[in-house]
Amino acid sequence: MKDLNKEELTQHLMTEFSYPARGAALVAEKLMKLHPELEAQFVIWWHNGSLPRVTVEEYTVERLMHEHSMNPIAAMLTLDWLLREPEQAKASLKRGHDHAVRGS
Amino acid sequence: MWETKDRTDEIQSPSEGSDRFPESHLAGLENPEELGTEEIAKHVYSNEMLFGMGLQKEWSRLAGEATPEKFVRAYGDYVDDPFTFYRQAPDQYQFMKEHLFYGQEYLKSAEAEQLSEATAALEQMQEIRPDVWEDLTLRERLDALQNVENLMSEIQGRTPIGVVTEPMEPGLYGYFDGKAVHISLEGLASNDVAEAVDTIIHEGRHAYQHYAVDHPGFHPDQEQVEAWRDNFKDYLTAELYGQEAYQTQPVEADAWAYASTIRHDIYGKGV
Repeated sequence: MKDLNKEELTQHLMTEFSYPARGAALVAEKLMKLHPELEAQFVIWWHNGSLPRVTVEEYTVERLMHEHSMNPIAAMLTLDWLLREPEQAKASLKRGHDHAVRGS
Repeated sequence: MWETKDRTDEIQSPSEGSDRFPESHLAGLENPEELGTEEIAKHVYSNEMLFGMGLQKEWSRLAGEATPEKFVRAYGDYVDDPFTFYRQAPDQYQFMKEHLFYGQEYLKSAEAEQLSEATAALEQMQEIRPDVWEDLTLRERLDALQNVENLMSEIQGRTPIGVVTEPMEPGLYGYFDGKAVHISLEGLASNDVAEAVDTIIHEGRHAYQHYAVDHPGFHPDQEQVEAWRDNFKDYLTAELYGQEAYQTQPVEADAWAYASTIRHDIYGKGV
């Protein structure tokens, strides 16, 4: 992704989106490898907040945000997965998600 | 109930080194004992005697693409992570088993036995049959799912935990909070009993993972337990990291594969 710097991405993810350091680095790494179909739209959103309008396998960023409670970044990463491995991604989304948290 | 002890010696794990691969996969290789699974996979892929045109076509049909990388990854999964591979891509697993490994499998026997025991026991529970489930009240359904958890915990050899319900955010079907299994009210109210049972087994598997982290030697694969331990410290939610990162992290890949196997065996394909 030539328009964005990985270190800047990581820092911004931590300061503006409250990702922990390791998580921000992981997300930045994935964003730097976004599918070309998503890359330009991600950069636009990153700079001015306009959500991408791309549809992949009937999923959009808005749909993932509303039906799966994802933030825009998670939604875009999921669209990327739908582009690369559509059958596996769709099967996973059909099921949904859980949380496996450790108790106090 | 199983005792909490080191069961490593009961597992028929594949032996270390090149002995675990079919001899034909190593033919023509220099010093195969020094090679890893990936190198052997690449060798097999390029060997027309082992992976000829007919098999390549069949593989392409199953895998969706004919790249060497895809084959090498699948070959490695068959050998090193067969349980997850079997659940995520059963057709590809069968292909590997029948055409390349001549029936040889790498599933750890203790885990396979546990899955069989769980399936056999759950199949006896009338209240989780679809025709019975649909007539149960929410309270009765919750009791039925508690019975599922009680049964699974006994088979797994861990302490049983409570099953509770509440409304949840969109896309979230349940969670384990360290003390109880939570299933969404929507899931409990749905007539899709396979989904509800899958949720309880999935969340119960997270309880198993936590128990294994706290009790060294309880789970036969200590390397896997270490991976779970590390993952719990850096857990990736779907809401922040997307569905792929969530789905493929160690604790989730394991829980999904585990619960899906039992669900498939009880309720059949496509359920």
